[in-house]
Amino acid sequence: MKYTYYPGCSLEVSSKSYSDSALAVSELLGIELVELEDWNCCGATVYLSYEELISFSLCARNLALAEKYDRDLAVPCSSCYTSLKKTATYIQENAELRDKINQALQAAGLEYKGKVNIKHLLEVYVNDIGLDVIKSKVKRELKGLKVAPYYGCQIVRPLHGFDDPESPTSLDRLTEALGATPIYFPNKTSCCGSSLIATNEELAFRMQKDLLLCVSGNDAEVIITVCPLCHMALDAYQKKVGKMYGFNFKIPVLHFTQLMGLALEIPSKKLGIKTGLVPLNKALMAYI
Amino acid sequence: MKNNVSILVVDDEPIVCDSCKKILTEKGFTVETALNGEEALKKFKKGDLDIVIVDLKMPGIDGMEVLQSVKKSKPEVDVVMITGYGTIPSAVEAMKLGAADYVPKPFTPKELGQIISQVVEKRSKLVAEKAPKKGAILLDVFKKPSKVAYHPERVWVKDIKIEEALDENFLNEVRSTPGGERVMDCMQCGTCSGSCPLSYRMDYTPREINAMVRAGLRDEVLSSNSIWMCSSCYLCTVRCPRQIKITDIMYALKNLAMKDKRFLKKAKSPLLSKYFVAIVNRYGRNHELELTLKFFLRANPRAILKHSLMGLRLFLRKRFSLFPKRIKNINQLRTMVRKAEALGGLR
Repeated sequence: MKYTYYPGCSLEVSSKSYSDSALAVSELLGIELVELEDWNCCGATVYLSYEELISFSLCARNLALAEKYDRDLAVPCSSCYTSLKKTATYIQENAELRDKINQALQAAGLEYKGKVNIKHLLEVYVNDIGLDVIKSKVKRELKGLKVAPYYGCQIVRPLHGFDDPESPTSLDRLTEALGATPIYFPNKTSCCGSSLIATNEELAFRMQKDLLLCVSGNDAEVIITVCPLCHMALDAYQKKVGKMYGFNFKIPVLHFTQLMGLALEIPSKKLGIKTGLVPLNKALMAYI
Repeated sequence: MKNNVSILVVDDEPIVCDSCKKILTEKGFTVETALNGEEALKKFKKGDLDIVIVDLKMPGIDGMEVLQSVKKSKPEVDVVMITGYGTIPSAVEAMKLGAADYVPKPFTPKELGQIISQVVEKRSKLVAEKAPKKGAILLDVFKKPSKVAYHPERVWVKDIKIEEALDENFLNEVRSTPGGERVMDCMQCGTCSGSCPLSYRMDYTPREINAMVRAGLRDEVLSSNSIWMCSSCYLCTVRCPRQIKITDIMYALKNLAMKDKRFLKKAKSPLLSKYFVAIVNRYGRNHELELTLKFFLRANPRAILKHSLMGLRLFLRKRFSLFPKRIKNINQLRTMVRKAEALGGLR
């Protein structure tokens, strides 16, 4: 199976291990991820706050480039996924917006007809490849590993349709397919506050504290994320959050593809397992 | 007998100030004095005054100017003019500009007392009339119980403001945004506010924002912190029983506030957006290090020091790049951005 791959800015540098592990896991599952040539930033929440039309146009350029190939677009970052998907939806629904975006694209010698199908990488694995196939490829079951499958907000919202917007299960089921145990995690779709980290740290930290408390209270040994921004918020800031609220959080955070890689026995170096700021614990070291 | 009416007396003759203060204090009013227009306006800005008594003729800022600035910023404050011989035509002019009454010089304590009592009586009647009746839901929406204690006067002030400050076009601007079309369907159930992880810190909750957009309270909405607190988690949107895309409405409001720069004073998010946009327009992609440094240097230089260890640890794990990556066809992207800019946005 061949997909056009849109990594997004975060996966280029700060979350390169997400991209590395995604490529390695996909290869093993028989998926070819072909990087979209000359892709540009999706604009994320930040550009959208500034000027919506330009922000939608940035996404539309990516969609126009992707449309040249007859393949679905696989996106590992929830923020990029939402931006691209939202643009594609609004282009179809809103004639005025479509007209203006087309004018902007035409000025740059591009055209978008509205045919690209956008999928999050989790969706590709769980729905297109299927859990049975993944299960059959597992070489080392992660027996007994207690995993907090953290979805964050944007992967299932607003109404993208591949899973329930409030109580999704795909990542839980994937975790089980790897042999691990998903913990009880009622706020698995609560926002991590990453879009506020720079501008309103205190508010963002409080949101992260609530998440980390739930995770540690339910004895998770590792958190897995499906978005580089959630990963950054929970991993890089974990110590600071704990310090602010008087907790000693030490829960390693992995990209979900890294955990898959461990079960598929991909060398941990290739997966970039040790690039997180929270050190790995005994439970995880057992698989490395 | 003490009452809760506070008065500022303004006259360039200290003796007038002092005698007025004596007369009015005896009647139970709280009285402050000022010897010129400048001092008067300073005290007026600082304090919570009900009535200003001001001499028409003063060097510098005169009584007429004091009257005008008071009425402009706080129309609910009553102004009584003190007039000398031969200034009756000016006193009439002052009444036209909104003065409540005037006292001709020289006056007896009784005369002054009578005029002020009349003004106070009129005020209390107006307050009683304008106080919200049972079922005045619209007014209730604009109270901020967390921060402002309930004062009938304040509600009266807001009532007048609502009439004057309505911006009918505001609703249309929001409705013309993708996702904003259904704002009129809001039934004020508050599911959005109850779902929002940050509504507890907002000046107005999402439910209130919806009502205010519909009412045309443009300035209040665009200057509130609510729009910049939205973390874009879309929980309000997926839960709204009327399928209103509240997160998208927040984006529309952010865009409108961005365009009208006077609303950007308190929030830091606009600054982050500004730098982010500049970087994306320059390279076609984000450069995290440049964005972080530029933003914090301007918004909070101390944070750079605070986060430097974390930055170093990320850098050692190759999670920070010193150099930006430019896309190949950056000119194509810039042409597109320029065209979109020329189209003037969505509204």
